[in-house]
Amino acid sequence: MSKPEDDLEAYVRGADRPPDVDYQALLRDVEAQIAGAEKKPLSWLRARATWARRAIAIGAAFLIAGVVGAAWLRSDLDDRSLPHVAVAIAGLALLLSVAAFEALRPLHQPARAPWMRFAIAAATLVATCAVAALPPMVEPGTGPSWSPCLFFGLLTGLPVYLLLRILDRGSSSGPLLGACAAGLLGNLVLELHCPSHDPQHLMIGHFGVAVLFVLGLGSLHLLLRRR
Amino acid sequence: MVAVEGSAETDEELMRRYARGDQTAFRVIFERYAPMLMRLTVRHLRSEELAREVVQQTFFQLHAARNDFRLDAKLRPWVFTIAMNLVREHYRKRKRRKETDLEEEKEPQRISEPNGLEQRERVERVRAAVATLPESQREVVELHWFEERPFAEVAAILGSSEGAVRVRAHRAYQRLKELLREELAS
Repeated sequence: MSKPEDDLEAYVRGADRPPDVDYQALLRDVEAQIAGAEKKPLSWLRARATWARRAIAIGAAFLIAGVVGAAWLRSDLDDRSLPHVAVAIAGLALLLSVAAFEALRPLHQPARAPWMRFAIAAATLVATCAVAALPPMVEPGTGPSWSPCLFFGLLTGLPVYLLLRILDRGSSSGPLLGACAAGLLGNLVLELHCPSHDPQHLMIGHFGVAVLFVLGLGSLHLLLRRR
Repeated sequence: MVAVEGSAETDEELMRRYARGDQTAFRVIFERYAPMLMRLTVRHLRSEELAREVVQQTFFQLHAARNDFRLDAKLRPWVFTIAMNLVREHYRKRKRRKETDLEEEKEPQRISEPNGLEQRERVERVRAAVATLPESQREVVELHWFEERPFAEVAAILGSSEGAVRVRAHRAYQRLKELLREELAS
């Protein structure tokens, strides 16, 4: 089937009429909006090609993780814990790349189904919860206070969240997926840095970072968009 | 309409010129696409005011994405995809508001009608029939039939396979024929 049937075609054709619009005024509005946006600081970043925006965001995230890993690598890495930590870091890094990649999906590509963004958010929470709930099989002990880790995780995730917001051109998934990427980066950095195996420390100090970013910022954006 | 020197250049050549910073190319693109986009969005949103907003945002997004335009890309699916994404986003926002907001939403502003009682009635019947279609079918009808885009392009705009788009179109046309059976017979 390539065309609707002739009788229906003829019937509807008679009803189709272009709307009466002042296109001069519309063009002026478009040009004024563009001029206003161009004046904003860092607008040139948003105008980069999508591959460049994605490379900037993902590169910045891994740069932060790399610096933390090089400067403050966890002290408990041995034959027993190394494979476990490596798998956790690889999983978090992969999910972080997916979240940042999708957060910057351009509008000239068909939008992903809405369930996709919630699937990535759910995967973020499940993965970070799993990493916190399943530490390496070594003797658990009383760990350090969870609050420095929670603060450090939020502090390292925040720059990437802000960078993703700056690079975003207004996609509907951007805020939630940016929050996912930030939560994942916070956990990735903590996995590289913190040697604690204390369950309470891991659940509050590490998993809490993802919860605060995804549920906290996610809910905030949802509320703001409904206004 | 916008007074811009006529151009024999293709849309793609114009877009490449615009990406290099030529403002006049943007005006020619606007002249070619704005009426098409208004027709498309008015039919979806049933309000000239909302449609105008969406068309303005479509051109703003086109400007923002100018450095993404590849040498082998076609401009029309690009522009239509942006517009359809914005229309879908509008529907989602409206749905969310209805779910949470107890206040009654303002009736959309009526769009300008063609003259003649019979014509107006026909427009209303067609709009009512198209409005009863599921969103996924309505999008296909708008693009394939009203905008006369080939199935391959409709599939690219909507992010579906060509086969799936053909099935949706077939179902939509069958449904429209059922809904407009009496009018068609007369």
